[in-house]
Amino acid sequence: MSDSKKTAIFEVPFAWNASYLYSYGELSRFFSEVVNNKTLYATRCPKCNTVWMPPKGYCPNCYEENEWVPLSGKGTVLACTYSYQAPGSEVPQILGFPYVFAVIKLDGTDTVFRHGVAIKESYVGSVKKGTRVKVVFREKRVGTIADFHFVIDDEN
Amino acid sequence: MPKVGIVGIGQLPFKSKYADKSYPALALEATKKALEDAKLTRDDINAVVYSIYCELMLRQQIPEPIVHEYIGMSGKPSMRIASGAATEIYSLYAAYMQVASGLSDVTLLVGVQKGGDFYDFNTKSRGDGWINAMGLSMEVTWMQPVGVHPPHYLTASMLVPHIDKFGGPTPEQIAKVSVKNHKNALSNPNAQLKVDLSVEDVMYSRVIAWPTTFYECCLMSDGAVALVLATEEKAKEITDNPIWISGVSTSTYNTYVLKEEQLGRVFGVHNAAQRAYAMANIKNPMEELDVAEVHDLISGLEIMHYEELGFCELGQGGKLVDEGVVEKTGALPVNPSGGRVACGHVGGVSGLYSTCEVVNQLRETAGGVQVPIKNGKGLVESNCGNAQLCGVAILERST
Repeated sequence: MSDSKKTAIFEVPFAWNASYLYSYGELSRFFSEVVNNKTLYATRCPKCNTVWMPPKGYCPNCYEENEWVPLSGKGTVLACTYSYQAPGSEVPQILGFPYVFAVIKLDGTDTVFRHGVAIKESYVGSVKKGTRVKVVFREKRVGTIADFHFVIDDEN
Repeated sequence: MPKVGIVGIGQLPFKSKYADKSYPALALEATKKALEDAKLTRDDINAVVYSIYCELMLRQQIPEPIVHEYIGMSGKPSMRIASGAATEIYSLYAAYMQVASGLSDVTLLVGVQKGGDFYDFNTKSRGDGWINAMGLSMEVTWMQPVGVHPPHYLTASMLVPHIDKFGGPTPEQIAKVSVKNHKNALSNPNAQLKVDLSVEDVMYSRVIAWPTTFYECCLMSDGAVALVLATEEKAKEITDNPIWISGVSTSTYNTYVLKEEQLGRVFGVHNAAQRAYAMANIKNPMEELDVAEVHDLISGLEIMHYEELGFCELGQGGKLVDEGVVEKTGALPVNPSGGRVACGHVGGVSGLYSTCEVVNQLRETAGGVQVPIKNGKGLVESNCGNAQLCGVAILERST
């Protein structure tokens, strides 16, 4: 080993190549509605009536198969942070920096949804607890949650 | 419950990158140290538990047989735990069960992880490559595309709502925790980052996710650690001062669909702590514990942990900082090693490094980071990026 200690570190570039044709399974409806109809859907348990968002195909409490319910796409910010970097993440790259990473209660749902709120034409501090937001869909949609984001809803 | 003792420990310094050592070599170095500490040879080991969080980071799926072979354990039973940055306490839980059940009377627990080999060829940054790849540890459909940084999720879902619901901690109190841990790291030869910071240095460092700043975020490290665990009978044969695992538990909590009442709380840490306290018969952690090493992925989370671990009431964590209770000289020193923000952090290693650190403290061999030991009890806590996996262990020396 004494010889090898004198050897300079040898490094090589390497990248994985794993590609998928990924099925959303029982959650397929959510993404097909986003792509085809620019509508957000949540799921409701027919037994306990909990409305899940992000949607779950089955209620974890009752084990019932949930039903799909359309949402208005509007909601209220419960908490947020202003982010200044997020390498690799799609939504922040689209919104630019700083972007608002928000915890949102979408109208008609019982859980919280976390997504980005654009503040490009506003100012830091413009989004806070209680701010009303609405969904905006991108022109080109491929079937991921980066197909949409939220903006301040000036109407209510 | 049968007693399980820690009879040997081996810690390697945290580094931003061990370019000169492969991960099996790091595991070997740590194992060698732990066996030396226990005055055992590899023949004395019956089984090995591996705490290896991430395959992507090692550029290798199923890494544990490679390590097993490298450290001369071929043919012996092995099992691997991979539970994010809570892997460490989850694997301690597994190793504890293995020894307590009698399946093995001397078990080696090895934690190893590298991430410093990542590289983003566009930005020419290892850190960017690391954060980008680490994002795949998040729930990939609903969370990863929105923001891969654990500081975003922790700050928005936990810290900010906590400040809103309980009126604290203040940005100054959060910065003070970072200052404390950076100061503690100055006396720790294994710490990765040694800088003496003021509250202003921390508060006015780059904002990562407001109010969380640059110096309030954990480091990203390469590292390795090993521990030898033994049954009560074996432990007493091996050493005069075994450190007993008197309580250990985990709690795996919601990660991507949260209820409103979860905001501002870390229920997983609360649950795991309550179970570990019950097992160790701890009624008043503030009175009974001498030292704690906890997961400060962001400094604000450390303060929330004081509350979830029952060191104080909800919302009172900041007060412990102001009163100096959690300083090395305080009534309950927290993270005398320097914690994740200054000593180092990588899933699979940090929580076990912390476990060894508490062993050192209880043996009173912790050198420059030693704190006063009265009751002979310490706590270790670790949790994963969004606190969806949480583990707590209580260590105790013989009285």
